[in-house]
Amino acid sequence: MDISKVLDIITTAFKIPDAPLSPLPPPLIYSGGQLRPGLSTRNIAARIISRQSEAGAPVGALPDGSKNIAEAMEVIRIEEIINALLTEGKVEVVIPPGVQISAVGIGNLGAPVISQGATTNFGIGQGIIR
Amino acid sequence: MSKNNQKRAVFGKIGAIKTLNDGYPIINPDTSDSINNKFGEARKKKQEALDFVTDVIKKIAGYKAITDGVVNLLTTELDNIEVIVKQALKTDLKKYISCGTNPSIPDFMKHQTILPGQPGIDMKLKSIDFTGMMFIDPNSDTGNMIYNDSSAGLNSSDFNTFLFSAVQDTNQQDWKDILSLDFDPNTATINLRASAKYSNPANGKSLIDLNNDYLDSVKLFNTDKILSNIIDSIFGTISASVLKSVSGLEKEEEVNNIITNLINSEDGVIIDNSFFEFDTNDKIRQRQSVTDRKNGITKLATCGNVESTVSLETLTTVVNDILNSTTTSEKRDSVIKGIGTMGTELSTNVDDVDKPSVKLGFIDTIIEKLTLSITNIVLTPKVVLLLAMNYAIINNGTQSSDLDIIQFIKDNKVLFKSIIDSIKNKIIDYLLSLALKEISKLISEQIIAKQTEKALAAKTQLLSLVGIPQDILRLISKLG
Repeated sequence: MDISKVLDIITTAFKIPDAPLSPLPPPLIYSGGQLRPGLSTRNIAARIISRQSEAGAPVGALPDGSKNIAEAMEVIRIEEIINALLTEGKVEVVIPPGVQISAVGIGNLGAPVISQGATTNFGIGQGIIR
Repeated sequence: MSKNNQKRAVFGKIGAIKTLNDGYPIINPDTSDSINNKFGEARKKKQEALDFVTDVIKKIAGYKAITDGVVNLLTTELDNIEVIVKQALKTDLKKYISCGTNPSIPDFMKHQTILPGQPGIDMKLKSIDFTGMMFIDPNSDTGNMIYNDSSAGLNSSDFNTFLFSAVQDTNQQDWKDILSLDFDPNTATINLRASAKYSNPANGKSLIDLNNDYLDSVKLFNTDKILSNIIDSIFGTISASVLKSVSGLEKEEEVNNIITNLINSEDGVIIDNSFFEFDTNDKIRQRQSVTDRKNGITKLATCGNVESTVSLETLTTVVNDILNSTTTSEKRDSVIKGIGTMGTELSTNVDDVDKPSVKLGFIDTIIEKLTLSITNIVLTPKVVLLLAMNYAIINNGTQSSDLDIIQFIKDNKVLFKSIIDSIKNKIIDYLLSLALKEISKLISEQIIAKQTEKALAAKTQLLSLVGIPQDILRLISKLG
């Protein structure tokens, strides 16, 4: 058995199929979304810095009193990521045809009528972030 | 993707999963021996597949797992390896002698009671016993480490032990009513014939039947003999004790290097003369190895060339413990204890800080030498006699067969490559199955962790949509 075959077998052993996510209930997204405060760079950076000790990284100033460069970098890193999400990120959403509407119009003895209507249910689609 | 990058990718995945499952990372793929081929100049080529699989097991489950694997190979898996090797021998011998037909036993090797006046096949004892095994008495301390069933003489279940007694006796001796042999001490020549049973046409026995039945009648591999061979090939424990000659050790070293070249080559590769040729550096290494084995030592290059040894007393104790084991479980325990004892002894001259890595390196060396040692057992008289007999039938007819073992391997390189590949692939298959078992444990932990993570994420998202505060959500998500 040569190395290529061994590599193929071992590499395949690491493949795990991932099931797609179950969608969240649309009414909840609608109502809950309005309560969301939005992303905060400071909050995120603060949480990361406060958890540094879990990984064994020093928190706060270094033993010689100098600035903790890793923490400063963390703030920069989060600022840039959040900035990119807020100012350059784009979510493309597709709602497939078939959203139910209810329309009311005045009849005109068989001729086409103009109606006005509104959707009666949530439109459910899929979005991807870019 | 290049092979090295593929290997790095595997170790990267192992490192990532272990980080997420157990805690923070300790695996650096770039320190893996199988990527960097850190085996020193002596290993120009390498057993790439074996080294990589061993590395994967060590990275996931540590040295305990690989030690257990080695112990299983030396105990419970040995019978499976024997079945595979015998099958390879039978298949290749059949191709060798018959090209598909069913040849009969030639008249010149029929038993004198069935067809009088036939010469038999003459072969010099030294041509089937290139290691000088027949100079060692099975009943001696060192004999116990080389022969099986060593005290039973002509009634031994082991052909090598039987042969030793047969060459002490001038009468014709029968091996299990399959082969008959006479030994002439004046010329040190064995005269070999089929037994009366196989020579009798009424019994309908062909040459293929004789070969197959002979192979079924011999036990090839025993745990203690393979372990003894491994230790002798590293430390020369037995060779030093029996005062093997320099020329004998040189021949063994040359044969070992040829076999190692065949082991390290990939399946299906063309075996040319380069497998049998050695450059100046190879010859210097061979001479150094001969000197060390004659002195019963090896030098640990990674510890400043400190001399290291396993004494005959220690090896004798280990072998006797294994021989006295009555169950497979006891045998496994004896092997584990023996490896531990030998590991302690060989690290005696090493600094305390280096002792653990030397003991672990011993396990690596046992794995490296396993295929070689199993092949060396195949190259003892019990198999070489059969190969020499068939060689004589094909090439020399009734003339004397005076083999040089190296020329013999060269002339039958396809046969030897097939036998070596069957041993090597069986070992790799077994270790690969261990690696896959360890990977599947790792993956199943990851699957559970991912499913838990997804469920927790969905829960916290739902709760976030109904106004649950962030600090409560973080408690639920177990985020600091």
